[in-house]
Amino acid sequence: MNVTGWEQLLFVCAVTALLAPPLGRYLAATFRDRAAGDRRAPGDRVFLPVERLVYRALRVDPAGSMTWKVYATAVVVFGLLSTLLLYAILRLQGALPLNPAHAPDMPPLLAFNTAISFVTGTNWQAYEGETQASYLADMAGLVVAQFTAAAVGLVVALAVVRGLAGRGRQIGNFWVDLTRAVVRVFAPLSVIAALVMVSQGAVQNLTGFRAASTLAGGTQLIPGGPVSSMEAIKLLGTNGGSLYGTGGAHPFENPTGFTNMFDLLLVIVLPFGIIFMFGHLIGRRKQALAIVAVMAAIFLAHTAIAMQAELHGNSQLPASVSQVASATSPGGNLEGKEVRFGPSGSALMTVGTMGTTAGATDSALDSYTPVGGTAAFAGILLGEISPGGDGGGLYGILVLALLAVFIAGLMVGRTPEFLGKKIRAPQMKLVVAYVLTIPVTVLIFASISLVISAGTSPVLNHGLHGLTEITYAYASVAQNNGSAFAGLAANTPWYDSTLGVTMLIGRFVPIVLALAIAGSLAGARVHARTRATLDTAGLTFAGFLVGVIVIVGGLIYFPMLILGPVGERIVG
Amino acid sequence: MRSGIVRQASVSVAALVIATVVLGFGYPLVVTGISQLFFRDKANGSLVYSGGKPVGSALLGQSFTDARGNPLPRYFQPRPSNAGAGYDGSSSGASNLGPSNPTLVNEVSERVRAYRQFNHMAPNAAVPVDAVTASGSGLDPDISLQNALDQAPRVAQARHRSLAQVLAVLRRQTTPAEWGFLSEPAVNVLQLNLAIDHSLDGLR
Repeated sequence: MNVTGWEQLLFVCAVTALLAPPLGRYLAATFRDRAAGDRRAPGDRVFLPVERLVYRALRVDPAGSMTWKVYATAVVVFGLLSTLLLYAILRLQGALPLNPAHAPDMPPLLAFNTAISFVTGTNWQAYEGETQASYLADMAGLVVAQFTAAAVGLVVALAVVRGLAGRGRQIGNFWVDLTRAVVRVFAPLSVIAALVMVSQGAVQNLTGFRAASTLAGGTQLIPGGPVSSMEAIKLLGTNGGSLYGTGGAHPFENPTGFTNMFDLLLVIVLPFGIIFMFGHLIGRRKQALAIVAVMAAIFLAHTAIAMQAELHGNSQLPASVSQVASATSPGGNLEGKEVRFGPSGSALMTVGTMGTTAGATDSALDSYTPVGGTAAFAGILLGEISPGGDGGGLYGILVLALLAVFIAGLMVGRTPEFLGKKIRAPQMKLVVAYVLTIPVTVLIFASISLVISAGTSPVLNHGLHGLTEITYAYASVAQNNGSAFAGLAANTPWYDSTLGVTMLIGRFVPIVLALAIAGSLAGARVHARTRATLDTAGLTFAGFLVGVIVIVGGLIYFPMLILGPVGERIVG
Repeated sequence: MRSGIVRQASVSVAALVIATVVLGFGYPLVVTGISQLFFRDKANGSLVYSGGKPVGSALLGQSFTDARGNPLPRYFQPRPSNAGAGYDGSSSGASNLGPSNPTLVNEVSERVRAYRQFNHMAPNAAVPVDAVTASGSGLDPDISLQNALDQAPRVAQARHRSLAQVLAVLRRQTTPAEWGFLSEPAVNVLQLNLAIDHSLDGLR
């Protein structure tokens, strides 16, 4: 890698290391169980009156707490009603105001796919951002879903932590958690982030397209839109969906090298902060550090590999094309990448967000080298835990940690324990169901797509690369990542419907299972640590957990990876 | 909790109403208001004016071709584009061609040939990668310095100016890496061409 790439990676790591711990402290103070004492949270003077207003409007008793079943019911019911509302907005957008580009009503299947996509935080975009969504649909539909999806992820993680580590049967109040997450975390941070972006050149207006007379005597349509406000929550909420079709590559959304790194930081700092929050909430900061180490190791591995691969360039291009980086050229595999970001900056931002559920990209993944594309794919296949989505990263890795302690327990012949609670058969059944839900869904749908023409005809790049396009689509939406090998023309009845169903399964089944695991451990006896207790906060366990994650993610998808990107690398 | 689903559904409806009003309208409108107040020019797309009329955006690439789509030799040329028919602001897009796709390899080979011919380069001269590949947005405003240097002799010739005069403008229009490492050094094609028009031909 050239020096610029390493400097950028170092910069991102340093800023994350600086900001995530204090953010975790703030989150812990915000979400600590207040019944335990009269603890005050930072910003109460501003936020409390707002929250009281919301509770009154919702007719919710902020002191009430829920069992896991009620909590899960609230999550699912809220999700389904959000989807219905968003579907209605998209279907009717043509007749609604704030539609300067005259986007027509979205057709039923596309609206079905898009509504699910944003409510689940996937932000898979089968529609054309510039022409197929009105500003009203962007603002009042998609952005609202981006806020709630992010908040739901965070609060589910909170509930899971309360179940795993707490002493009572109740795991919190969904509506109180949701309100506090939006009021104290996502809304204020989004306003700040959006304004920073505008100050760098990102667009924020409601004027629609404007015509400019170009120097050469032609006309160019200059797009507009409430871009920055959407981009802020797209990134902070690990959502990934942009107002424009090409997202983070578009100069009006990501104008400079600074915004490129700022975007990446918006995505990864909060998920890391949530892990530090976890450490504070359970009173074991070392446990949080071990998890951060696991996430950081996987993040660094797949990101650095991709940066190196993209800088190295595309070996298929003729030798006359100079792909060597120099003082006068960024070099590298520049197909699908912007000059200002260069090959390594593009790979850092794009692949760096693949281990979160944002899947925000500043370059075209389909044109990545086989190695770079696999590195991006790896972030998704390993279960979105490097560092994962807001909240999703935490409950995702906690479930994998339970699997790891179970396997470790089998190896040494002891009943596995995590955070002082015994892990037994009921929990392990749920854990295995959690781990298998997504791969089974992905592999079934991808396999069907490979043998029917409705599945294969939308593929742009045939052969081995086409296999990657199809499986990537299902894996990406199942993990609620939403990035695409975009050569797949996915706005077809088959893909709109099956990808929509995959997103629903990939979002709600794991959430319900994670809450069920938490519920089954809520109120369980907490055992004192003895010398025989497996230490889950040390480096040994962290390394073991990395191994479990790689084996689970890697083995399930191994045949597909061999036939897809590995084959392309060898044959091509 | 009794009648759990109905109860959660009624709270959900209320929550969605509040969220739509506050987050769906309040939040973007507040951000728009502040942006229009303090960053008016940037929030509206960093438009570039010449003679009082918008000629484009400082952040978006545009085509420098004649009515038939042939590149104009007197202007520096941007990268190939997959936004619509080329630099279409209403349809940003990438080729999405895989690295091993023969279409991509053939397209690049053809662009190499055309680039050398257009710029009067030797038949075996190396061509900078950004000149023969399309960007992710199709609206990349920049080219690499090497790409600009390779085009400079042709621009000078088309304008009947010395290479030194063109290079002097080019040097002023080269953007260094932000903070030294956050971005790649680049040349904004629209700004460069405007500066060339302005300083060499005294246009406008």
